[in-house]
Amino acid sequence: MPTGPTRSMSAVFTPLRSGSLVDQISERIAEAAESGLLEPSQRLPNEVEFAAALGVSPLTIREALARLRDAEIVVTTRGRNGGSFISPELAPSTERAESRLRDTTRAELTDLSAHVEALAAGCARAAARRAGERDVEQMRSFVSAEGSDSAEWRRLETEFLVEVAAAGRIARLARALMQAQAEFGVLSFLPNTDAEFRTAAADHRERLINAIACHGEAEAEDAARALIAHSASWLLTRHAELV
Amino acid sequence: MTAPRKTPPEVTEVARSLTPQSDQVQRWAVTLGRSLTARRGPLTGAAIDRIVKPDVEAMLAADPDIAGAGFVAAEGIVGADRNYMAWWQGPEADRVDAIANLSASTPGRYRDTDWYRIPLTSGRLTVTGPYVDLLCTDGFLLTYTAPVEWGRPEGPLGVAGVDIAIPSLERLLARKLAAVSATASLVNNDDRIIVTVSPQASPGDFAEPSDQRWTIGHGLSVIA
Repeated sequence: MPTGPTRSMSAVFTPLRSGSLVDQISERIAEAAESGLLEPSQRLPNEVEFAAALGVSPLTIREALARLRDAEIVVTTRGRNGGSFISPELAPSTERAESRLRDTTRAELTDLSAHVEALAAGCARAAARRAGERDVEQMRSFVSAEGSDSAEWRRLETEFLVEVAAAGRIARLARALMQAQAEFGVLSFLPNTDAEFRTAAADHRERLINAIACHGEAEAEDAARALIAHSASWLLTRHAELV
Repeated sequence: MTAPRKTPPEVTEVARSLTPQSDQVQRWAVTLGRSLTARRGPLTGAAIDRIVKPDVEAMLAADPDIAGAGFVAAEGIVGADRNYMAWWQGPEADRVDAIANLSASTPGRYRDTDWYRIPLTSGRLTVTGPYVDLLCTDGFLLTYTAPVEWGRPEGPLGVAGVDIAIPSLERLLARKLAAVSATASLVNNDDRIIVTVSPQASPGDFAEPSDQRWTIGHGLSVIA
């Protein structure tokens, strides 16, 4: 299994466009911090280096950092070892995820899950038609993780969907699936804290891979729907307990 | 399966339409290697940008079929265990994957991709795709990459390349393929279709086996 976040953060990497740069840069950094690409407590480069890395002016970076400080995504300390850091508070945690779940309505959860499910089903059908041996091999490396690190399992869950989307080779569906899945944000961390959920999710992934490997389009669609519905029903059940 | 002895002129025509892309990447990788090695002082991200970006802007402006282009420094060049991505796309030369350059947690982000790995290990121009690039651009692409050499034992400095959107290639090649046959396709090394005029197939599908096949270089073939 590859280490470190990879394509699951793709939403973060859509290119920077000109215009309202401060907005875009602060949003991207917020997303990168949320997804774990930029790690909690990680030091950010100084304004000049930062500006060079993103190809914008130091003034733009200064404004973006100010905004990120207001949003408590970045903290700045003074002194010899001072500088700007991704806030240590941003590490995905059960508390943060549960508080987000409490703030989300059942209507929103159902809406988003249905969207992700439809997109995953479409990608799975295309993958069953078009996946090659290497695609299937890649998917197999994201079935389950060793150990019980929830963050690791959550990353693997997203990486697996990326592989299915990539194997289908329908750019529009793949893009839409990645964007919709990213909207779950820290919520997708929560089901992965549950060992029972993780085992069943791995089984669903295994079933989906097998369907794709033998080019069963209907079976693949079915397995993809079951995989997404598994997360949705976990979240909806937990939601009912929290409210 | 035996290849036909003589390449029909229609196939040569398809191959000829693709040589500017591969030639351009080969040439650029060489000049880029020279400019990057000639630079005095440490090869920082900013230094790489200053050398690479004007070339990319010129390429994007000169050829609307080029969706994006850039250079990726091999691991260890700009910092230990990390790459550096200097890649831009589109008519506005939008920067791609910039925040990953700041990340401490992305060693090996490009390590498993064919467009990065194969030119570095084979030392040759590589054509990757058709694939959906979920890492950077989200487009359906063919990517040409070549190693950027600097004559050091530790291996190439990185890879330089261009992205070409599959729809652009289809516009470029459809009529030429139709002249080969009514079901002709341009396919990659795995027999996956890049462009086709067949009413039964789409780009991204595997091609039906065919006895009529001509290799046209860099792993690409035309099948009738």
